[in-house]
Amino acid sequence: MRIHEDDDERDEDRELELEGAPQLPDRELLAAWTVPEPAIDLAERVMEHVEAGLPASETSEEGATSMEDRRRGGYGWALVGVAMVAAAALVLGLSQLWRSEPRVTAPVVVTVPVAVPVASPPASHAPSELPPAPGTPVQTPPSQAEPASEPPETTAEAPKSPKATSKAPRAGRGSKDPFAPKVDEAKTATLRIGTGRGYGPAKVYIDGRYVGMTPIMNVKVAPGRHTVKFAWSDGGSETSSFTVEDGQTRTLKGPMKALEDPYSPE
Amino acid sequence: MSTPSKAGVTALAHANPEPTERELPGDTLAAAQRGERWARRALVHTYQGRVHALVWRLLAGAGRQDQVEDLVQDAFLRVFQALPRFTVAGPARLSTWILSIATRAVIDELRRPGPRKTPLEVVEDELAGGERPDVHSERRAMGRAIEAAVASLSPEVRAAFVLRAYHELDYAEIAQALEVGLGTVKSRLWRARAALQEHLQEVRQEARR
Repeated sequence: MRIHEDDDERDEDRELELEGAPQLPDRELLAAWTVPEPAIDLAERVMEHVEAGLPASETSEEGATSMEDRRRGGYGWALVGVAMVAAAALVLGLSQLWRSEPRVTAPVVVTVPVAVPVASPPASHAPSELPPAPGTPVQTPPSQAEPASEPPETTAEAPKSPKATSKAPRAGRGSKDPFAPKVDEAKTATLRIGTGRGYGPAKVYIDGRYVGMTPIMNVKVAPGRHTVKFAWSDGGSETSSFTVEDGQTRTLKGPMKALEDPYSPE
Repeated sequence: MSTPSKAGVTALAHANPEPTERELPGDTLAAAQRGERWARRALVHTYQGRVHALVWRLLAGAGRQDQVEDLVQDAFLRVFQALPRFTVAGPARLSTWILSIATRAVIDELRRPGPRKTPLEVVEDELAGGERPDVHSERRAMGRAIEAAVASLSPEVRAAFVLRAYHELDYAEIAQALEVGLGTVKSRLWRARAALQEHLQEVRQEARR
Protein backbone atom coordinates (compact mmCIF):
# COMPACT_ATOMS: atom_id res chain seq x y z
CA MET A 1 0.00 0.00 0.00
CA ARG A 2 1.45 3.32 -1.03
CA ILE A 3 1.31 6.55 0.82
CA HIS A 4 -0.50 8.05 -2.13
CA GLU A 5 -3.26 6.57 -4.11
CA ASP A 6 -2.51 7.43 -7.68
CA ASP A 7 -3.12 4.30 -9.74
CA ASP A 8 -0.26 4.79 -12.17
CA GLU A 9 2.20 5.39 -9.40
CA ARG A 10 0.87 2.44 -7.45
CA ASP A 11 1.29 0.31 -10.53
CA GLU A 12 4.96 1.14 -10.58
CA ASP A 13 5.28 -0.11 -7.03
CA ARG A 14 3.24 -3.20 -7.77
CA GLU A 15 5.47 -3.98 -10.70
CA LEU A 16 8.45 -3.75 -8.43
CA GLU A 17 6.80 -6.05 -5.93
CA LEU A 18 5.96 -8.50 -8.69
CA GLU A 19 9.63 -8.58 -9.51
CA GLY A 20 10.25 -9.71 -5.94
CA ALA A 21 10.88 -6.47 -4.05
CA PRO A 22 9.71 -6.41 -0.43
CA GLN A 23 6.41 -4.64 0.18
CA LEU A 24 6.39 -1.04 1.24
CA PRO A 25 4.90 -0.46 4.71
CA ASP A 26 1.43 1.01 4.74
CA ARG A 27 0.70 4.67 4.87
CA GLU A 28 -0.01 4.74 8.60
CA LEU A 29 3.30 3.18 9.35
CA LEU A 30 5.25 5.49 7.08
CA ALA A 31 3.57 8.43 8.77
CA ALA A 32 5.12 7.35 12.05
CA TRP A 33 8.39 8.84 10.89
CA THR A 34 7.66 12.42 11.80
CA VAL A 35 9.48 15.60 10.96
CA PRO A 36 9.87 18.32 13.59
CA GLU A 37 8.73 21.75 12.62
CA PRO A 38 11.50 24.17 11.74
CA ALA A 39 12.79 26.11 14.71
CA ILE A 40 12.86 29.34 12.77
CA ASP A 41 10.83 31.03 10.09
CA LEU A 42 12.54 29.55 7.08
CA ALA A 43 10.80 31.81 4.62
CA GLU A 44 12.04 34.90 6.44
CA ARG A 45 15.58 33.55 6.55
CA VAL A 46 15.61 32.57 2.91
CA MET A 47 14.17 35.89 1.82
CA GLU A 48 16.68 37.82 3.91
CA HIS A 49 19.50 36.16 2.05
CA VAL A 50 17.89 36.47 -1.34
CA GLU A 51 17.15 40.12 -0.82
CA ALA A 52 20.58 40.82 0.58
CA GLY A 53 21.91 39.50 -2.71
CA LEU A 54 24.14 37.13 -0.82
CA PRO A 55 23.89 33.69 -2.38
CA ALA A 56 24.65 30.74 -0.15
CA SER A 57 27.72 29.90 -2.17
CA GLU A 58 29.15 33.26 -1.20
CA THR A 59 29.06 32.40 2.45
CA SER A 60 30.31 28.91 1.89
CA GLU A 61 33.91 27.97 1.81
CA GLU A 62 33.93 27.79 -1.95
CA GLY A 63 32.18 31.10 -2.11
CA ALA A 64 34.73 32.66 0.15
CA THR A 65 37.46 31.35 -2.08
CA SER A 66 35.85 32.71 -5.17
CA MET A 67 35.41 36.04 -3.46
CA GLU A 68 39.09 36.02 -2.61
CA ASP A 69 39.87 35.25 -6.20
CA ARG A 70 37.73 38.11 -7.34
CA ARG A 71 39.38 40.41 -4.86
CA ARG A 72 42.77 39.23 -5.99
CA GLY A 73 41.65 39.87 -9.52
CA GLY A 74 40.75 43.39 -8.46
CA TYR A 75 44.14 43.88 -6.90
CA GLY A 76 45.64 42.52 -10.08
CA TRP A 77 44.02 45.29 -12.07
CA ALA A 78 45.11 47.83 -9.50
CA LEU A 79 48.66 46.55 -9.79
CA VAL A 80 48.47 46.76 -13.56
CA GLY A 81 47.35 50.35 -13.17
CA VAL A 82 50.18 51.16 -10.79
CA ALA A 83 52.65 49.44 -13.10
CA MET A 84 51.39 51.43 -16.06
CA VAL A 85 51.74 54.70 -14.19
CA ALA A 86 55.19 53.70 -13.00
CA ALA A 87 56.17 52.80 -16.55
CA ALA A 88 54.80 56.09 -17.80
CA ALA A 89 56.74 57.93 -15.13
CA LEU A 90 59.88 56.02 -16.09
CA VAL A 91 59.41 56.79 -19.75
CA LEU A 92 58.70 60.36 -18.83
CA GLY A 93 61.82 60.59 -16.74
CA LEU A 94 64.01 58.90 -19.35
CA SER A 95 62.64 60.96 -22.14
CA GLN A 96 63.24 64.07 -20.16
CA LEU A 97 66.68 62.83 -19.28
CA TRP A 98 67.44 62.29 -22.92
CA ARG A 99 65.98 65.58 -23.84
CA SER A 100 67.48 67.57 -21.03
CA GLU A 101 70.87 65.91 -20.76
CA PRO A 102 72.57 67.96 -23.46
CA ARG A 103 71.60 71.16 -21.74
CA VAL A 104 71.26 69.92 -18.14
CA THR A 105 69.49 72.94 -16.88
CA ALA A 106 67.47 73.00 -13.70
CA PRO A 107 64.43 74.75 -15.18
CA VAL A 108 63.97 71.94 -17.65
CA VAL A 109 63.97 69.42 -14.83
CA VAL A 110 61.33 71.28 -12.90
CA THR A 111 58.91 71.48 -15.76
CA VAL A 112 59.16 67.83 -16.77
CA PRO A 113 56.26 66.25 -14.91
CA VAL A 114 53.63 68.67 -16.12
CA ALA A 115 54.91 69.70 -19.50
CA VAL A 116 55.54 66.39 -21.17
CA PRO A 117 52.75 63.94 -21.88
CA VAL A 118 53.28 60.27 -21.25
CA ALA A 119 53.46 59.33 -24.89
CA SER A 120 55.59 62.26 -25.87
CA PRO A 121 57.49 61.94 -29.12
CA PRO A 122 60.93 62.17 -27.49
CA ALA A 123 60.32 58.86 -25.81
CA SER A 124 60.01 57.12 -29.12
CA HIS A 125 63.11 58.83 -30.40
CA ALA A 126 65.06 58.09 -27.29
CA PRO A 127 67.35 55.34 -28.58
CA SER A 128 68.90 57.66 -31.12
CA GLU A 129 69.26 60.43 -28.58
CA LEU A 130 71.10 58.70 -25.78
CA PRO A 131 72.91 61.25 -23.66
CA PRO A 132 76.64 61.28 -23.38
CA ALA A 133 78.36 60.23 -20.21
CA PRO A 134 78.34 62.78 -17.42
CA GLY A 135 81.13 65.24 -17.73
CA THR A 136 81.43 64.81 -21.43
CA PRO A 137 81.28 68.13 -23.21
CA VAL A 138 77.84 68.52 -24.59
CA GLN A 139 77.09 69.84 -27.98
CA THR A 140 73.51 70.78 -28.21
CA PRO A 141 72.35 70.68 -31.78
CA PRO A 142 70.56 73.80 -32.84
CA SER A 143 67.70 71.78 -34.21
CA GLN A 144 66.68 70.55 -30.71
CA ALA A 145 63.26 71.46 -29.53
CA GLU A 146 64.72 73.12 -26.47
CA PRO A 147 65.72 76.71 -26.89
CA ALA A 148 69.08 76.89 -28.57
CA SER A 149 69.79 80.17 -26.94
CA GLU A 150 70.50 78.61 -23.55
CA PRO A 151 73.64 80.08 -22.05
CA PRO A 152 76.75 77.94 -22.30
CA GLU A 153 77.18 77.78 -18.52
CA THR A 154 74.65 74.94 -18.46
CA THR A 155 77.46 72.69 -19.55
CA ALA A 156 79.24 73.43 -16.33
CA GLU A 157 76.37 71.92 -14.39
CA ALA A 158 76.52 68.68 -16.27
CA PRO A 159 77.66 66.50 -13.33
CA LYS A 160 74.59 67.48 -11.35
CA SER A 161 72.10 66.88 -14.06
CA PRO A 162 71.60 63.11 -13.83
CA LYS A 163 70.75 63.37 -10.16
CA ALA A 164 68.42 66.26 -10.70
CA THR A 165 66.73 64.54 -13.62
CA SER A 166 66.26 61.28 -11.78
CA LYS A 167 64.57 63.12 -8.99
CA ALA A 168 62.01 64.64 -11.24
CA PRO A 169 59.61 61.71 -11.51
CA ARG A 170 59.85 61.05 -7.81
CA ALA A 171 58.90 64.61 -7.06
CA GLY A 172 56.00 64.27 -9.43
CA ARG A 173 54.87 61.04 -7.83
CA GLY A 174 54.94 62.51 -4.38
CA SER A 175 52.67 65.34 -5.28
CA LYS A 176 50.47 64.02 -8.05
CA ASP A 177 50.46 60.25 -8.20
CA PRO A 178 47.15 59.19 -6.69
CA PHE A 179 48.37 55.70 -5.96
CA ALA A 180 51.25 56.44 -3.68
CA PRO A 181 49.41 58.26 -0.90
CA LYS A 182 46.44 55.93 -1.18
CA VAL A 183 48.46 52.97 -0.03
CA ASP A 184 49.49 54.80 3.11
CA GLU A 185 46.12 56.36 3.84
CA ALA A 186 43.82 53.31 3.51
CA LYS A 187 43.87 51.98 7.01
CA THR A 188 40.77 49.83 7.11
CA ALA A 189 39.71 46.44 5.93
CA THR A 190 36.23 45.00 6.05
CA LEU A 191 35.16 41.67 7.43
CA ARG A 192 32.00 39.70 6.92
CA ILE A 193 31.69 37.10 9.60
CA GLY A 194 29.40 34.13 9.69
CA THR A 195 29.28 30.58 10.86
CA GLY A 196 29.47 27.51 8.68
CA ARG A 197 26.75 25.09 7.95
CA GLY A 198 25.73 23.18 10.98
CA TYR A 199 26.93 25.81 13.37
CA GLY A 200 24.55 28.06 15.18
CA PRO A 201 25.03 31.77 15.64
CA ALA A 202 28.17 32.60 17.58
CA LYS A 203 29.49 35.56 19.49
CA VAL A 204 32.50 36.95 17.71
CA TYR A 205 35.54 38.59 19.25
CA ILE A 206 38.23 40.21 17.15
CA ASP A 207 41.50 40.57 19.03
CA GLY A 208 39.57 40.00 22.22
CA ARG A 209 36.98 42.68 21.50
CA TYR A 210 33.35 41.62 21.16
CA VAL A 211 32.03 42.69 17.77
CA GLY A 212 28.65 41.01 17.70
CA MET A 213 26.69 37.88 16.95
CA THR A 214 26.92 36.18 13.58
CA PRO A 215 26.06 36.99 10.87
CA ILE A 216 27.97 40.25 10.96
CA MET A 217 28.24 42.07 7.69
CA ASN A 218 30.54 45.02 8.21
CA VAL A 219 33.37 44.91 10.70
CA LYS A 220 36.21 47.36 10.12
CA VAL A 221 39.69 46.38 11.19
CA ALA A 222 43.16 47.63 10.52
CA PRO A 223 45.14 45.74 7.92
CA GLY A 224 47.37 43.06 9.33
CA ARG A 225 47.06 39.93 11.36
CA HIS A 226 44.22 39.47 13.83
CA THR A 227 42.67 36.79 15.94
CA VAL A 228 39.02 35.90 15.78
CA LYS A 229 37.14 33.93 18.37
CA PHE A 230 33.77 32.31 17.78
CA ALA A 231 31.91 31.44 20.95
CA TRP A 232 28.74 29.36 20.87
CA SER A 233 26.05 29.28 23.49
CA ASP A 234 26.88 25.66 24.35
CA GLY A 235 30.24 26.77 25.67
CA GLY A 236 32.22 25.70 22.62
CA SER A 237 34.56 28.15 21.01
CA GLU A 238 37.06 28.35 18.19
CA THR A 239 39.92 30.78 17.92
CA SER A 240 41.95 31.36 14.82
CA SER A 241 43.99 34.03 13.20
CA PHE A 242 43.77 35.61 9.81
CA THR A 243 45.44 38.31 7.80
CA VAL A 244 43.67 41.07 6.02
CA GLU A 245 45.07 43.64 3.66
CA ASP A 246 44.50 47.31 3.16
CA GLY A 247 41.10 47.95 1.69
CA GLN A 248 40.31 44.27 1.48
CA THR A 249 36.94 42.74 2.28
CA ARG A 250 37.11 39.22 3.62
CA THR A 251 34.50 36.69 4.56
CA LEU A 252 35.32 34.66 7.65
CA LYS A 253 33.37 31.63 8.64
CA GLY A 254 33.53 29.94 11.97
CA PRO A 255 35.09 27.64 12.72
CA MET A 256 38.13 29.04 11.01
CA LYS A 257 39.72 25.62 10.76
CA ALA A 258 37.66 25.18 7.65
CA LEU A 259 38.90 28.39 6.10
CA GLU A 260 42.07 28.47 4.12
CA ASP A 261 43.78 31.73 4.62
CA PRO A 262 45.71 32.47 1.44
CA TYR A 263 47.36 35.43 3.10
CA SER A 264 48.60 33.52 6.09
CA PRO A 265 52.40 33.30 6.30
CA GLU A 266 52.13 29.75 7.66
CA MET B 1 -4.28 9.47 9.13
CA SER B 2 -3.66 10.62 12.66
CA THR B 3 -3.75 14.23 13.69
CA PRO B 4 -0.31 15.72 13.78
CA SER B 5 0.89 16.64 17.23
CA LYS B 6 1.25 20.29 18.03
CA ALA B 7 4.86 20.15 19.08
CA GLY B 8 6.35 18.33 16.45
CA VAL B 9 5.01 16.56 13.75
CA THR B 10 3.94 16.56 10.66
CA ALA B 11 5.34 14.09 8.55
CA LEU B 12 2.38 13.73 6.34
CA ALA B 13 1.38 17.35 6.68
CA HIS B 14 4.70 18.05 5.00
CA ALA B 15 4.91 15.02 2.84
CA ASN B 16 1.40 14.72 1.62
CA PRO B 17 0.00 18.22 1.26
CA GLU B 18 -3.49 18.96 0.15
CA PRO B 19 -3.87 19.29 -3.60
CA THR B 20 -4.93 22.93 -3.29
CA GLU B 21 -1.55 23.92 -1.90
CA ARG B 22 0.50 21.78 -4.19
CA GLU B 23 1.62 24.19 -6.88
CA LEU B 24 2.20 27.91 -7.14
CA PRO B 25 -0.33 29.71 -9.36
CA GLY B 26 1.01 30.45 -12.82
CA ASP B 27 0.91 34.23 -12.52
CA THR B 28 2.74 34.10 -9.20
CA LEU B 29 5.34 31.83 -10.73
CA ALA B 30 5.82 34.24 -13.63
CA ALA B 31 6.24 37.12 -11.19
CA ALA B 32 8.75 35.09 -9.17
CA GLN B 33 10.67 34.40 -12.37
CA ARG B 34 10.80 38.15 -12.96
CA GLY B 35 12.29 38.48 -9.49
CA GLU B 36 9.32 40.12 -7.84
CA ARG B 37 9.74 39.97 -4.13
CA TRP B 38 6.18 39.14 -3.12
CA ALA B 39 6.08 36.27 -5.58
CA ARG B 40 9.38 34.84 -4.41
CA ARG B 41 8.12 35.00 -0.88
CA ALA B 42 4.95 33.20 -1.95
CA LEU B 43 7.03 30.51 -3.61
CA VAL B 44 9.04 29.93 -0.45
CA HIS B 45 5.87 29.80 1.64
CA THR B 46 4.26 27.33 -0.74
CA TYR B 47 7.12 24.86 -0.86
CA GLN B 48 9.07 25.36 2.34
CA GLY B 49 7.19 22.65 4.21
CA ARG B 50 7.93 20.02 1.59
CA VAL B 51 11.51 21.12 1.13
CA HIS B 52 12.08 21.15 4.86
CA ALA B 53 10.57 17.70 5.32
CA LEU B 54 12.63 16.29 2.45
CA VAL B 55 15.87 17.83 3.64
CA TRP B 56 15.21 16.77 7.21
CA ARG B 57 14.57 13.16 6.24
CA LEU B 58 17.63 13.00 4.01
CA LEU B 59 19.86 14.45 6.70
CA ALA B 60 18.33 12.63 9.65
CA GLY B 61 20.03 9.41 8.68
CA ALA B 62 23.40 11.08 8.65
CA GLY B 63 22.91 12.63 12.08
CA ARG B 64 23.19 16.03 10.52
CA GLN B 65 19.81 17.48 11.32
CA ASP B 66 21.53 20.59 12.56
CA GLN B 67 22.22 21.42 8.93
CA VAL B 68 18.61 21.25 7.84
CA GLU B 69 17.84 24.94 7.97
CA ASP B 70 21.02 25.91 6.18
CA LEU B 71 20.35 23.41 3.44
CA VAL B 72 16.74 24.44 3.01
CA GLN B 73 17.99 27.94 2.56
CA ASP B 74 20.68 26.78 0.17
CA ALA B 75 18.11 24.83 -1.82
CA PHE B 76 15.85 27.85 -2.22
CA LEU B 77 18.74 30.03 -3.25
CA ARG B 78 19.57 27.48 -5.94
CA VAL B 79 15.92 27.50 -6.93
CA PHE B 80 15.91 31.26 -7.34
CA GLN B 81 19.11 31.18 -9.33
CA ALA B 82 17.64 28.65 -11.74
CA LEU B 83 14.03 29.85 -11.66
CA PRO B 84 14.19 32.02 -14.80
CA ARG B 85 15.02 28.85 -16.76
CA PHE B 86 12.08 26.85 -15.43
CA THR B 87 9.36 26.32 -18.00
CA VAL B 88 5.84 25.40 -17.07
CA ALA B 89 5.54 23.46 -20.30
CA GLY B 90 8.58 21.40 -19.41
CA PRO B 91 8.59 17.82 -18.18
CA ALA B 92 8.63 18.61 -14.45
CA ARG B 93 6.08 20.15 -12.15
CA LEU B 94 7.43 23.07 -10.17
CA SER B 95 7.23 21.10 -6.93
CA THR B 96 9.13 18.18 -8.47
CA TRP B 97 11.70 20.56 -9.89
CA ILE B 98 12.20 22.25 -6.52
CA LEU B 99 12.43 18.94 -4.69
CA SER B 100 14.99 17.76 -7.24
CA ILE B 101 17.12 20.81 -6.58
CA ALA B 102 16.80 20.32 -2.83
CA THR B 103 17.72 16.65 -3.15
CA ARG B 104 20.84 17.45 -5.12
CA ALA B 105 21.80 20.12 -2.60
CA VAL B 106 21.55 17.59 0.21
CA ILE B 107 23.39 14.84 -1.65
CA ASP B 108 26.16 17.29 -2.51
CA GLU B 109 26.40 18.17 1.15
CA LEU B 110 26.37 14.58 2.31
CA ARG B 111 29.26 13.75 0.03
CA ARG B 112 31.36 16.27 1.89
CA PRO B 113 32.79 15.49 5.32
CA GLY B 114 30.44 16.58 8.06
CA PRO B 115 31.08 19.27 10.61
CA ARG B 116 31.56 18.59 14.30
CA LYS B 117 29.07 16.19 15.78
CA THR B 118 26.45 17.69 18.00
CA PRO B 119 24.24 15.71 20.30
CA LEU B 120 20.86 15.04 18.79
CA GLU B 121 18.10 17.18 20.10
CA VAL B 122 15.32 14.98 21.37
CA VAL B 123 11.94 16.48 20.78
CA GLU B 124 9.18 14.86 22.77
CA ASP B 125 6.04 14.69 20.73
CA GLU B 126 2.81 15.42 22.46
CA LEU B 127 0.32 12.62 22.36
CA ALA B 128 -2.11 12.93 19.54
CA GLY B 129 -5.63 13.50 20.83
CA GLY B 130 -7.18 10.33 22.19
CA GLU B 131 -4.14 8.22 21.43
CA ARG B 132 -3.30 5.60 24.02
CA PRO B 133 0.20 5.84 25.47
CA ASP B 134 1.09 2.30 24.37
CA VAL B 135 -0.04 3.06 20.82
CA HIS B 136 1.92 6.26 20.87
CA SER B 137 4.96 4.42 22.09
CA GLU B 138 4.62 1.83 19.35
CA ARG B 139 4.26 4.54 16.73
CA ARG B 140 7.37 6.20 18.00
CA ALA B 141 9.22 2.91 17.88
CA MET B 142 8.08 2.39 14.30
CA GLY B 143 9.07 5.92 13.41
CA ARG B 144 12.51 5.34 14.83
CA ALA B 145 12.75 2.05 12.99
CA ILE B 146 11.96 3.72 9.68
CA GLU B 147 14.47 6.43 10.46
CA ALA B 148 17.10 3.83 11.35
CA ALA B 149 16.37 1.90 8.18
CA VAL B 150 16.70 5.02 6.08
CA ALA B 151 19.86 5.95 7.97
CA SER B 152 21.44 2.71 6.90
CA LEU B 153 21.04 3.62 3.26
CA SER B 154 23.42 5.59 1.11
CA PRO B 155 22.35 9.19 0.40
CA GLU B 156 21.33 8.27 -3.14
CA VAL B 157 19.19 5.30 -2.09
CA ARG B 158 17.75 7.32 0.77
CA ALA B 159 16.83 10.10 -1.63
CA ALA B 160 15.04 7.72 -3.98
CA PHE B 161 13.03 6.23 -1.13
CA VAL B 162 12.07 9.54 0.48
CA LEU B 163 11.10 11.09 -2.83
CA ARG B 164 8.92 8.09 -3.61
CA ALA B 165 7.36 7.33 -0.25
CA TYR B 166 6.88 10.82 1.11
CA HIS B 167 6.83 13.15 -1.88
CA GLU B 168 4.88 11.22 -4.49
CA LEU B 169 7.43 11.46 -7.24
CA ASP B 170 7.03 8.76 -9.83
CA TYR B 171 9.95 6.65 -10.94
CA ALA B 172 10.71 8.78 -13.98
CA GLU B 173 10.72 11.95 -11.88
CA ILE B 174 13.05 10.36 -9.36
CA ALA B 175 15.32 9.28 -12.19
CA GLN B 176 15.36 12.84 -13.46
CA ALA B 177 15.90 14.31 -10.00
CA LEU B 178 18.80 12.01 -9.26
CA GLU B 179 20.11 12.06 -12.82
CA VAL B 180 20.09 8.27 -13.09
CA GLY B 181 18.30 5.70 -15.20
CA LEU B 182 14.96 4.12 -14.41
CA GLY B 183 16.62 0.79 -13.64
CA THR B 184 18.84 2.43 -11.06
CA VAL B 185 15.82 3.99 -9.40
CA LYS B 186 14.10 0.60 -9.17
CA SER B 187 17.24 -0.97 -7.77
CA ARG B 188 17.56 1.76 -5.15
CA LEU B 189 13.93 1.49 -4.13
CA TRP B 190 14.29 -2.26 -3.85
CA ARG B 191 17.24 -1.87 -1.49
CA ALA B 192 15.37 0.71 0.54
CA ARG B 193 12.36 -1.54 0.92
CA ALA B 194 14.54 -4.44 1.98
CA ALA B 195 16.25 -2.33 4.64
CA LEU B 196 12.92 -1.04 5.84
CA GLN B 197 11.44 -4.49 6.06
CA GLU B 198 14.37 -5.75 8.05
CA HIS B 199 14.28 -2.92 10.58
CA LEU B 200 10.54 -3.04 11.05
CA GLN B 201 10.65 -6.77 11.56
CA GLU B 202 13.13 -6.29 14.37
CA VAL B 203 10.86 -3.75 16.03
CA ARG B 204 7.84 -6.04 15.75
CA GLN B 205 9.75 -8.97 17.20
CA GLU B 206 10.94 -6.76 20.03
CA ALA B 207 7.36 -5.67 20.71
CA ARG B 208 6.15 -9.30 20.91
CA ARG B 209 8.67 -10.20 23.62
